[in-house]
Amino acid sequence: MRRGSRGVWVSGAAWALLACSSTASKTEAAEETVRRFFEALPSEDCAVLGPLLATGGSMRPCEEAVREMHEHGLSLVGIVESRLDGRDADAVLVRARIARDGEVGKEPWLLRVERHAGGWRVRF
Amino acid sequence: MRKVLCAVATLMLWACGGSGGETSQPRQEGLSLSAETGDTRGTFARDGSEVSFSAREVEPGVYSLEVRLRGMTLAGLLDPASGVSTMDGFADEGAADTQLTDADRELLSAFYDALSAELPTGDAAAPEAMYLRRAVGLWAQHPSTVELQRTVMGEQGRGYTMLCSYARCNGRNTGSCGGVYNWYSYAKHDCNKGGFSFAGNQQIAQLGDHTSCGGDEFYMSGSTWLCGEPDHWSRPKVMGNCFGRCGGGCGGDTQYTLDATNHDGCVRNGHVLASAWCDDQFVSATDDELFASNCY
Repeated sequence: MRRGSRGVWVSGAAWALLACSSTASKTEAAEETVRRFFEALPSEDCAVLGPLLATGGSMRPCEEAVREMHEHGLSLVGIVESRLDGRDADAVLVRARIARDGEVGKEPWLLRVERHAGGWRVRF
Repeated sequence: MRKVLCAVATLMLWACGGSGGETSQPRQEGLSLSAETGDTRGTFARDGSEVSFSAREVEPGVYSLEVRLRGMTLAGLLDPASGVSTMDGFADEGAADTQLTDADRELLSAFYDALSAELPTGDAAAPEAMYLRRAVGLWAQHPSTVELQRTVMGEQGRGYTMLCSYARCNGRNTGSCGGVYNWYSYAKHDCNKGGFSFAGNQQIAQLGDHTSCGGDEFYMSGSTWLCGEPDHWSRPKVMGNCFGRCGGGCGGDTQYTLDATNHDGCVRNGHVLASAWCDDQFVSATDDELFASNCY
């Protein structure tokens, strides 16, 4: 192998590693956002929860959404896995087991965590 | 060397899951459809977004569906005689995971309306086209929190319950009830307000295609019918806009079922269409929409 080609492949491998670490950092950040949201949910404090919730679309205002979730006794049982959305590199799909009033659903919920200017936010 | 760098860059872009987006010019607005025996395909364009679709009979009585939009593919394989189907959805690039968003549902809903308007109603449509319409109606209401990849089994009496007779009033399947209603059907859901037995989670419904308005439904307030939706009132009487029918509003099929009634009773009762509170009603109604017979 010529020296130049070897350099290109080393460079390529470095970029690939960087891409993988970038993906990992996104999924970790998304999972952490989901955990922080559910930890803070019982407080119903939108000063804390608001920055963790996505806005727009069919999302309702923080106070309303959080009150409903709290009334229904939603809690995080565990995160199954998370992957980048194949159509949006700034969104992570987090599969999470959610309990309602202590009863764990059969299927995991697919939560969308989006990267916005202020950080990562969950869209239900 | 430049080629190698280019290959590495391409690999990087693919690995990062970047959305390539559609670069082709959108076609003419509206639905363009071609059909021959066992094969219906075409495109639908609206506001610069395009849907391409195909529905084929791949074996006798087995239908393969494919709908592509906004960088994703929705696929289905249906064997109605056996009551078995597999549904899937994935990003076009790398077949990676994705989920339906509000923008996807909006486009699919317009596509569903166009299919319902263009194709013959109910069983008069070619079978592959009818199942395509049903699947599109399903995807147009698919909540983001529910996985796209699913196996759906349907069997009448166990998986779904037909309510055709409840959809009639005054001896008619369609048209005005003339003040003669069938108040047989209790639409029920569970949510943050309470369980199925909570009166606020119930609506007493006249099913069927008997009247429509610009809101979600008509509901009785005192002695007056109002257009809109009550928000967890105690067992209001409701009707209109094809209450209890599979698919959003009045689609091209005429399936009235118990699970579709309960789903309508959820999304037309203070919850938005893709609300997580109505996910379980949506999942229960999936087999109804794919497999239940048309009532008329």
